[in-house]
Amino acid sequence: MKRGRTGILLLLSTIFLSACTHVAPYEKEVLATQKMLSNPLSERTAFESHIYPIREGTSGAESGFQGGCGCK
Amino acid sequence: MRKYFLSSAIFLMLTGLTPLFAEIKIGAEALDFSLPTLDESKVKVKMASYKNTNVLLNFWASWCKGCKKEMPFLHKLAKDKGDKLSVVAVNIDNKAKKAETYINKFKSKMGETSKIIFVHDKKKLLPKAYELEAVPCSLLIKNGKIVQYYLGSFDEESEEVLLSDLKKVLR
Repeated sequence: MKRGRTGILLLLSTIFLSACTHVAPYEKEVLATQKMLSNPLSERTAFESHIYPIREGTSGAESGFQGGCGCK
Repeated sequence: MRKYFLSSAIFLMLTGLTPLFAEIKIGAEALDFSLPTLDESKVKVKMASYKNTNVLLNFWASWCKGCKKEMPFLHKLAKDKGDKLSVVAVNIDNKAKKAETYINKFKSKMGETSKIIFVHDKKKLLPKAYELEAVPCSLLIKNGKIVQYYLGSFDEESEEVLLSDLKKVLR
């Protein structure tokens, strides 16, 4: 039973951990593309962050200097 | 304890984690290469033809911001020290077209022909052989031997270091 568990654990490790690999700096072409950014559409984000506080009436909700209560 | 070692070994094997260390050794022979130029002629540039001269071998890519940032400096260097120093820029883009587009833009921005020799290493054999830790990276080579290497984009400080190294090398 114990051996079976270890076997399953090893199998799962092989499946999941093999995806982790060191990417050499000279092989990061695909990683350097715009779509790989956590925020690829910066213009859209700027637009949304402008619209959102107006729509929700929560000025300052997205920035770090106010509490999001709507007061200035 | 045994279990710990075993599990660590398995983890390292599975994750493919490899130690990070540079293969660039100061004083070692520069690796040989034969790479086509990034223009229509596709003339092969060989390291062997620089055996008795000074070369600054630069690794760059069009997707690398730091590489593009230091390009005007390399352009100036090739222009000012061109009689004693060859600047060979090895591009590692997957497609030569991207690099060529950038070079054309760069040349028109500079408004003059660049003395930098642009070559293309599509298979990235040279950066692999050198086990580059960063891009951009530049190697200063004198008579076929590595004198110094510079990791990362040139800034004011590293530019000064390179210029001072060049004073010694180009004597």
